Amino acid sequence: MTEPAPVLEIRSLEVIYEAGRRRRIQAVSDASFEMIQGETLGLVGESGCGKSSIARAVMQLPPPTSGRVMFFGEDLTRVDRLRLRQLRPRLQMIFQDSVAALNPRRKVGETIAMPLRVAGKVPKEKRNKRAREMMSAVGLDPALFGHRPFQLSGGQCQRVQFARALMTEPGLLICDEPVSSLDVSIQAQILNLLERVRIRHGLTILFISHDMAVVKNVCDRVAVMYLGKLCETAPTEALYRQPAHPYTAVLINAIPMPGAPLSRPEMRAAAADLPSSIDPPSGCRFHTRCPVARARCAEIEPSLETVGPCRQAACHYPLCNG
Amino acid sequence: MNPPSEIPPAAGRKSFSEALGESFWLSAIWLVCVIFFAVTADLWPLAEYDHMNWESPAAPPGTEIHAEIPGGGRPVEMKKVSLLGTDTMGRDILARLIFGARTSLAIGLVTPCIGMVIGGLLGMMAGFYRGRTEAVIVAVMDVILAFPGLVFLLAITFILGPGLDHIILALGLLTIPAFTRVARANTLRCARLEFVQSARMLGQSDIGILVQEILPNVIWPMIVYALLVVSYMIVAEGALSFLGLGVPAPTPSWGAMIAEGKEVLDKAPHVSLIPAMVMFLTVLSFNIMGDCLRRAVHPKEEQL
Repeated sequence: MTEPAPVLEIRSLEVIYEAGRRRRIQAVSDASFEMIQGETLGLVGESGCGKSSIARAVMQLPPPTSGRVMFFGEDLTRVDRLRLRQLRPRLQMIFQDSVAALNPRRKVGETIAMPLRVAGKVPKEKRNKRAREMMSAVGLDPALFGHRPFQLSGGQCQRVQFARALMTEPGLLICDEPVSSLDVSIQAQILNLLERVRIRHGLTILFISHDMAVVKNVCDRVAVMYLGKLCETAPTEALYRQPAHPYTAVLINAIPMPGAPLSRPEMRAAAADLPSSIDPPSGCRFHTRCPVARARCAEIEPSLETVGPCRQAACHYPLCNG
Repeated sequence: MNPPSEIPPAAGRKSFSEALGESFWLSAIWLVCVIFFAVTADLWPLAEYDHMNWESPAAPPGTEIHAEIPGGGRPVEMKKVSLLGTDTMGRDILARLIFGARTSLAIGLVTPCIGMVIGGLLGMMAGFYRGRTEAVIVAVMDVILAFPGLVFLLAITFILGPGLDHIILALGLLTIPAFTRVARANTLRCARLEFVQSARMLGQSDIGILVQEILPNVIWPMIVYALLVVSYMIVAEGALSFLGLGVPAPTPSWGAMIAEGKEVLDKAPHVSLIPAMVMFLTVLSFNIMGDCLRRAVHPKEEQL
């Protein structure tokens, strides 16, 4: 018996933006990971480290500069436009700015029914009925069907986004900072909703966030990014208990914990600014801020190596091994 | 920006007609009257608009004048009260006003439609596809904008000859760049928003996105702008009449009527002032409607 094909497999993904004359921003370089059915993978890192670029590259909006994006065994970067349009509904994304993600001129009910309209062949009454059912399923009062997005709160708009995405029965749901623009109390509601729909629909979720505390509660596995590169991938529990990459340790150390002793001073990043991705540092990209960097780190770039069961880290001197 | 909890918003929102306000409806009533009379002009017992009566030129409103009512082969002489007086050639002003409304409204209403359709299409394409398409469209529009409009109108009249249709065509072409800009700016604004990307994620085609996602967000600013152009075009027709580039006589138009009266402005000001008043009210009404619409259809999206 061979293992079933992973839902999503990314190989040597590279995203380069042209920023004016001869200035190229390497947003993502050589990223590879895979996701299996029903898994929730957290993608964490500072702002501008390339998390959203990976998400957009997976969605082919726009396609990556190079590399492969295999979705249920089909390479999205190679398939023709018609096939891509057929596949797209199975890849859905929840955007951070929930208000901008909804057409202000359309009633929210119509927005939720839109996937069925684009797919065609479903009569209007049936579409609207399904939309109302989906509204109840995501905790929206179906009476809001005729409202416009600007009449709704941020949390409600986020629920509308979930409802719309779930209408297509997606094989992969990408959540790009789904709760960062919400109040803390609403964040919890939306995360509970995410957990509920994940179980009910058996969703595979790529969860992008810069909030380590949220990721810890939501994800099965975590991938940490720094300046366009993956530094570490590990099961959530192992990662938080004992990080292998110094950057992961710095991130975890920065989570405020009530009652816990003050963060360990040796695990703070140097106060230096985030280096520019136009001109990334030599060797290991983190060495300019790394608390444990040595001479070798500035010269040779570490590759992702296995450092334990199901975990990999790109560091010459991982904090834990085996 | 978020309310503290997810309470459904208050149901008691102002209805659309309330949001428009009284001045909108007053303007609408005036315009409906003008359009109604323009359309049904033939059905009213009006004097002929091109019948000259040299016995009573520039008669003030309410004057009793001799009129020849054509009928039964032999003209019947009778006295008739001219409600708004006559112009410098003794033609009935009321009749000319009502028939002139046809000309002025045709120019005012058709011209922006030409600009809106062509300019809207080009502007949306430029804002949506960007790149080379946008560069070419913007460059062409800049050329049209830089070309003196009056010279263009003269050229059209010279090449195609005078006539209402040619004036409409020429003025319509001149409004395209402005509509292109309005459409492009609004397309740029919403094409970068995530809802366009989510439509793409649902497998929507480019045309589907343009028609279903972007057009509804672009059409209202365009309509509001078109209402301003309507009034601008009615005034422009008046200006052209002053230059002799207007609709050829004897077809009446408000602009031509105002222009005719300028020679007797001291002795018989009503010849110019009555059509000027009607044009003023009509233009004002279009402007008020445009303003009210803009306020009513841009309620909260502006806060985004």
